[in-house]
Amino acid sequence: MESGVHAMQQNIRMFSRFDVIPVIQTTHSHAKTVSNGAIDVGGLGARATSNPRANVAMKPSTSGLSVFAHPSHHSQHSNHDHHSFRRRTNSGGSGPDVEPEKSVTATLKPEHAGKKTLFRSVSAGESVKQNHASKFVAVDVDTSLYPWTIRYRRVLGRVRFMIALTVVYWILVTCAFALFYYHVFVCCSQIRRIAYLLYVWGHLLLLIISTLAIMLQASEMHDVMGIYSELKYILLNCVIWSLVIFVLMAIGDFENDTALLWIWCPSLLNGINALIMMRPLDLYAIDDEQTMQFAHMYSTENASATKTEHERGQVTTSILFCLYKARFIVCNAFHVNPKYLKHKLRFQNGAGGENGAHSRVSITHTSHNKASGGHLTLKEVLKMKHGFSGLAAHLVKELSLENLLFLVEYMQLKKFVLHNELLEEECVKWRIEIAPEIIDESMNEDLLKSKCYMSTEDSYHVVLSMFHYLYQHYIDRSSVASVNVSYQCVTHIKYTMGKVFLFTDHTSTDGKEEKDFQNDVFSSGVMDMDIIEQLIDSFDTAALQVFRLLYSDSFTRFSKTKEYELLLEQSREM
Amino acid sequence: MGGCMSDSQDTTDRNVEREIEKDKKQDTRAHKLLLLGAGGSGKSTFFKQLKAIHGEGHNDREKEGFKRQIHGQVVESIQLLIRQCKTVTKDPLPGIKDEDDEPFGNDDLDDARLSNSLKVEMTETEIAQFKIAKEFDQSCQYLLEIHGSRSALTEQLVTHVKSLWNECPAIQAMFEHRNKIGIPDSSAFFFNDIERIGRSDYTPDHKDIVLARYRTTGMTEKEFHIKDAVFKVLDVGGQRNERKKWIHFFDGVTAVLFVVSLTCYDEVPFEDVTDLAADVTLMNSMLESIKVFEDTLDFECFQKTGFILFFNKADLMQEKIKRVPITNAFPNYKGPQEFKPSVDYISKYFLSLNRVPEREMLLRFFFEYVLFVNYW
Repeated sequence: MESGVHAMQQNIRMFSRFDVIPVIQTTHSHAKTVSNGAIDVGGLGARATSNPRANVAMKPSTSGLSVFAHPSHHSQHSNHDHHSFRRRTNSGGSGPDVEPEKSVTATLKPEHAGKKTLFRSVSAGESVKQNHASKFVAVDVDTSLYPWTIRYRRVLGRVRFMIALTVVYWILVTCAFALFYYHVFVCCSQIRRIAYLLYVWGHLLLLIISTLAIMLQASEMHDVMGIYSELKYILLNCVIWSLVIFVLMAIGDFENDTALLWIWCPSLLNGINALIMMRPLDLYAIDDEQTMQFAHMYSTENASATKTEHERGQVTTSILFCLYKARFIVCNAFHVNPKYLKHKLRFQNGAGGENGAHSRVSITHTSHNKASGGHLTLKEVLKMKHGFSGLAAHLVKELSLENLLFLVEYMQLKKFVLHNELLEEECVKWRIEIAPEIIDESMNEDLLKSKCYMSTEDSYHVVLSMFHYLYQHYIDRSSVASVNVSYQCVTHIKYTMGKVFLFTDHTSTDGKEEKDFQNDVFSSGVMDMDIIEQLIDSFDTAALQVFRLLYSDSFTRFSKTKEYELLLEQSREM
Repeated sequence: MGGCMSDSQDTTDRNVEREIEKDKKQDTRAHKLLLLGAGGSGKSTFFKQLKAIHGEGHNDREKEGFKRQIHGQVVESIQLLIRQCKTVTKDPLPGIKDEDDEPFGNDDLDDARLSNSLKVEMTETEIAQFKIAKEFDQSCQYLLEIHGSRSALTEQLVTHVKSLWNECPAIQAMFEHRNKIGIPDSSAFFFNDIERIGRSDYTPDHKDIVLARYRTTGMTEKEFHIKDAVFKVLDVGGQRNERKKWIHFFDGVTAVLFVVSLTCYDEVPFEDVTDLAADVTLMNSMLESIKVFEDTLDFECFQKTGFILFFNKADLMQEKIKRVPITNAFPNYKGPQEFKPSVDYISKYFLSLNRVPEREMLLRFFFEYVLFVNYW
């Protein structure tokens, strides 16, 4: 358990594999090699992960020219110097020392070393806590703290389980009333009648009243889970069943046998309501593979429409397809979150696999048609994988990579928010498209896969810790990789962050602060999605400023380089 | 097989070595000049001028880039003006608040600060002059909704900007306070010429290019061949976060060109821009410049490096000195409120910061279009 938790922490902490500071620090010596060909952001990222601790351990004083404080260690930016610097900072701290030899291999074999270091830091997880690096570890996924519904959500949230539950309930109720019917109510039919009426109508009334009460409350809340729409469907369900019971009562002359039928109605009603309320996971959120299959089948169906001779061979697939279609119809009928499905499908297309490739090509096609005039805008460049890496390499040379990294990591955050349905798509506001390969490759895999087992509460905390990470890395003025944004923007972000985290500006009382921060996040317990929206609002202004800066300054220069020419040619060919 | 491998490796090694040698040779031949200075002092402007005069000039694509920058500057400036007007008059910003949510955090903050500081300094009538009249609401709404990347000027945008700039007294009044809200002086020039700039076939001329203001991020370098000498000039960003990167270029610098804006003694640095309540005597770009200059001088690498101080924007200074005394930044200054003695004082002050007597210090002044006018 212990190690698992730490592994999770580690994963969340590095929610993207970019770690800016070493990139910036080593850029000058590497600028040549990067520009010569190996434009590989993944490689950069892998190398960057090799020393996550050293970065944060280096905490310059708050003055603007703080780097001046370490002159001798910076004057040459060879790798060796970098290591000696790291050793120096680490030996001062209490954390485990990162051996410089291993980091040498890190630069030589980025992939291997990346894994190694990750493994090492996981194994050293216990001592990580004392280190500064774990300061933005906000999420301790200790599931024992959560109510059992969340803990066992993976089991509970299955259609099979729900149906079994309903059947069991139904059988139990039927048995119970059968017993009553033959033993207790034999004496007096009047009592029996009253009991039935009370049971059926009282049941309905109770349900409707409580639903209405919840709805009243829900209308005042920030409805993230879409409870409101669920409640509406429950009400509708109640009305339908009450009609059914009414009709049955009108037709039947209240004989012994029909009375049993009545009992089924409320039990079925309850079963369906439970189905709506519990929201079985696999009914609404279709697994990724299933969506893939569906998309695949969709395309094969299109093909079969033209080629009728293949139809016989595809009988089985078309049956499956019908099943899936039915499933989609069910989803739409419940209408909990069709937007999510759409989003999911689109995301799936962009994310990878062969299906994705097609749509990606079409996207780039349209952009190039637009760009036939011989110019690419920054957005178009970012959309292309080569464009992105080319621009990144250029920015490394100009020592302003942090701008781009901030944008990428912020977009990853937004993607995570969307992916976990924390907010509606409109609330996420400003987004730019960045080459999907880049976003996905550099994003921590666990975060994207986490959908199945991460509860909303978990992901809420993860998002908060992501914001904290972004703040520490890019916004905080004493950070090495702070971006160039206005004072107003920074104060606004600080203000909103202050609502969530009780952090102090001065990091002198590290241990205390960490405790505060964790306590605060956990003690609040309540998920306030408004906070996330506000955070997004405030970070949006920063992101916009950074984007503007990139656009008006760096990109102008980038558009004069050879790499840009190459890119332009490439895009024309495509 | 093995020999084959090592052979190919050797050749690549040799190639790399040769390249490094070549680079080294070039490096030793070239004089490395660093352009340093606080944010907004005119480093990049100087760089642009160098390029126009001693480089190959600006080609069409670069002009395209400058056009984008100018357009961006126009939109950004007008947005800032409108926003500041609304904040001062406590007009709700349209389109930012959600209907059902609590008030936007920023407003809370601003309101709190405003009620603390601004009310004391400003009377109702003073605030009233920043009130944007109802008839401009549509223009404001339109302009505020524009997002950063879409900076191309459309006809509609041009008319909106034009009407706001020419007919709205509040915007003009706010522009008078541009030093406090971080709006570059040159924006007035672009606003006045908005029709020319907004034309679809507009290409920026030399004056436009020089006047365009944008923040620099990171570093650019360019080689200039002047007569026989080769100069490698490095241009960097001047904001606080950008200064952290300076350290990377300090190796083997022939001379530092330190640029100081003469007019910045009443301008609030970009990182501190808040609203009109800002106190320019406490924090202004001149103080910032002095601090940066001191830090740069103290730096170990530069103990024997020559410094060339450029005092920029002298022409604007001549105008500004009539309105604002330099005591904002130099409280000990006792001389008359005139151009020459003020500038004398500033330059002497900067020179006095140098504690290494054998270091070469040169002073140069330049005006916006006249390059290298030697003042002495």
